[in-house]
Amino acid sequence: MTDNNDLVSEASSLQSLSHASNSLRAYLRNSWRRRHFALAMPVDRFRSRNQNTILGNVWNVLNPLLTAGVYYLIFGVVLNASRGVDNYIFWLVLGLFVFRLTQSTVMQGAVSITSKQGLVRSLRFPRVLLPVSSTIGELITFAFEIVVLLVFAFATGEGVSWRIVFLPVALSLHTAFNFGCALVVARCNDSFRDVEKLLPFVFQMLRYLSGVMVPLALLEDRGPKILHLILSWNPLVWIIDIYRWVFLGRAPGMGLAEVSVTVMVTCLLVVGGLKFFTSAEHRYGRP
Amino acid sequence: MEDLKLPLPTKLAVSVRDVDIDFEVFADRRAGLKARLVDRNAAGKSVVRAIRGVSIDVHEGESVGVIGLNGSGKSTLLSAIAGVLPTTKGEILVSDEPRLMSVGSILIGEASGIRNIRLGCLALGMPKAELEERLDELVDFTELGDAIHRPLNTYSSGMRARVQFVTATAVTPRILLIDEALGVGDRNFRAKSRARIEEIIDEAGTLIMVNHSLDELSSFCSRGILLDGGRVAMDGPISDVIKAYKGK
Repeated sequence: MTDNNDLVSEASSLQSLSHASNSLRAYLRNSWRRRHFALAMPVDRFRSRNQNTILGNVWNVLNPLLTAGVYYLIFGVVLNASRGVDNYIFWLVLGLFVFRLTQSTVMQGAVSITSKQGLVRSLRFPRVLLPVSSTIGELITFAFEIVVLLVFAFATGEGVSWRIVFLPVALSLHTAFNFGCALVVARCNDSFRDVEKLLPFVFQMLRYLSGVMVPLALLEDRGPKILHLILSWNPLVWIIDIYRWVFLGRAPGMGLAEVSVTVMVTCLLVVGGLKFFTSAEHRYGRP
Repeated sequence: MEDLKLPLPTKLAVSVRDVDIDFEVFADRRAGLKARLVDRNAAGKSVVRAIRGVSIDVHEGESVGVIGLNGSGKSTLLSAIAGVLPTTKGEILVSDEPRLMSVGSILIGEASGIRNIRLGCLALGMPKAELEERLDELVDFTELGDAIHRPLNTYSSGMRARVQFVTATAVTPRILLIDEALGVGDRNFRAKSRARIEEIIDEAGTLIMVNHSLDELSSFCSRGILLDGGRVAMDGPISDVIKAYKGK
């Protein structure tokens, strides 16, 4: 029976592959080691996404430019809307681009595991790299939108002030917030594919409730009280406000308290999101 | 005490301990919406018990062939050992990260062969500098020529196997799991991959392979495991196991 005992002692050098046994710290270290993978995927996709068009990479700029153009045409020229906001068109396009980054990061995050089943079923790597990589992919798209925003800022006579140095700060906070949300929906969607069907409607509603099109102050005396309570605690509103402060110098209703709460909510989302996401790590990719 | 006749075992590489793997699959006809909402687990789903109470110990340097009819759980077992499929019950321990190559798998279909090799190697933790240095050598090994720049979707299964083999063996794996992937290669590639696999086994690597070509299995493996309905029906020298399989 000595044989048997030897086997048992040998077995201690064996490890289980289930991530449940690893600490979050070890998991993150392992992910960091493979960071180039998370970067290579969106870069590849970015390089190839306009391959089948004649204009090719010009579309990266043309796409946000045309979006801004459409809004300028409809709201600026046709409707001549101002909603009581100076430089309403720029205000609107800025809010729209910022909102779109959240929307696309969360929606791509939701399918980041489910759309990469081939990868998940054949290779073992920290699955968190998938939402990381989809988040990076959306940031690449947003980089071009920022270029268009800067063009817009000068074209509308707004210019760019010293506050632009806070753009990286705003973008970091925004990205962390989006990534936290992406982690949560990625796991939810892996369990219930209904989530990705539902998300477009959630964002359609949020678009109206986050002060993207209309300043929230204009909605103040309309609708039920509870709605305003939700609106006044919507971190997305504050994130958009930070950008508006950076570009336009105006952000009524945004103070230190709002920024602090946004930072806290974001930290909570990222840490909680990581825990939530990794606790189902071993389940991702099952048939 | 049959065990004592075998050469003294080296260290354990893979230890599968009383593992069950169940799949929830959607039946052809799903239950109604109401039933699905009331009981998410029962409605429209049926449970397939792919692996039942399997226990296997594989030692370093061993090469094991897994045999069984279609649907007997061979691929499922390999995926579970690779750590890409969770077990329902029991545990699987390994001495090192296993590499899986399986015939059906595609990493990213829209990306070219070379991009798939890059992504695969990076995902498996190869440092970027090393990858850049060795990429040409890896691409050469596939012998795919210009096709390496075409999307993986356009590849034949043999071409895909070349890409997978290179990715899985780029860093010499200590545990290599091969699920049918060699069978689709041509003569030339089989010879090449065979040489590489023998190299891996010589370096105290462990091989577990599923292959429907019994000749290939008996030339690669010394030990055989016969799976039947998700259970181990036989575990012994490959020639005996093949004999039993043929007799079925």
